[in-house]
Amino acid sequence: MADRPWYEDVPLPQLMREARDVYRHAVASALAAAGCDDVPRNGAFVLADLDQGASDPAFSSQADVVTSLGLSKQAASQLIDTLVLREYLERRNDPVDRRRMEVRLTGRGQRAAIAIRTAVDAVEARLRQLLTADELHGLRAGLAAYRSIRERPAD
Amino acid sequence: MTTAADAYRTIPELMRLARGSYKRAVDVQLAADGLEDLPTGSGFLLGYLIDDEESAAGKMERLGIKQAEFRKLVDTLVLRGYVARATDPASGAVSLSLTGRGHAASDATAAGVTFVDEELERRLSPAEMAGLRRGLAELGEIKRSLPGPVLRRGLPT
Repeated sequence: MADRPWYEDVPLPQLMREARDVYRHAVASALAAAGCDDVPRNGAFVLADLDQGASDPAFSSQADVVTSLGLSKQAASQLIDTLVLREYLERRNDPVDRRRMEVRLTGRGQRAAIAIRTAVDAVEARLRQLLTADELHGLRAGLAAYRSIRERPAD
Repeated sequence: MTTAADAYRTIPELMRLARGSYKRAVDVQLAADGLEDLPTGSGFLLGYLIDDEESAAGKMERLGIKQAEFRKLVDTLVLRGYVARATDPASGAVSLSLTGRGHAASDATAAGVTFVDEELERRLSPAEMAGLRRGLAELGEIKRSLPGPVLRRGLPT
């Protein structure tokens, strides 16, 4: 009979805590190596979201970027401000609707986005080597379930 | 429940959105029991205080916090009546123990964690649960294998 895997006896909250910073750690190292060590917390998600892999990226609606973050409006706006201030994003008024703002990656933002993409891809490639397709599906389904439990804990 | 949007999310995005699920459930339970002033992350510390065999250094390591943060957290827990501090008059050694309020908070924390774990069991198939466990375990192993200093994770949430 095969040995019981070590992680079967570890409480799930502990497994979550120990796993949760793996991408942050990998991305932080890659950003530092690319000279972009002042990307604020959650900023990597914005840069990855805007990463189009193009040398002349198109502008995107700031409101869409903010919505996808799932942060409070104030926190998301501060994050965008910081990314603009640190020259990762360029911001302008939407030429069609001047009340709306648009953002896109600057050259520095593109360099950071490439570092982020490379770091994330490396972790995911390693994960695909280690897990079966069914296990990978289980991981994704489990993380999605955590989100829905967090959003509606009383259900 | 997995939504259509989840199929397009990367694992780091899913992990970010999953963050805080235990904290939220524990906060709900603490509020129901009138224990809203329990500092963030200290439910885990209360659990560790029940384990008398573990040293303060061991507790800090498991929590991923620095000594100054640990002491400040303990001070707050003492002030708010969750933890009792006693000093041995002979050796000067300080010992910590849970008060009745501390035990109630520890129980509420455990109930919050159990709620999330049971919800996961209810929402996921056994194969998905196994994949979640294995996936999280491997992500933890990958993190430990990365070069450079491991980022401090601060108080658990």
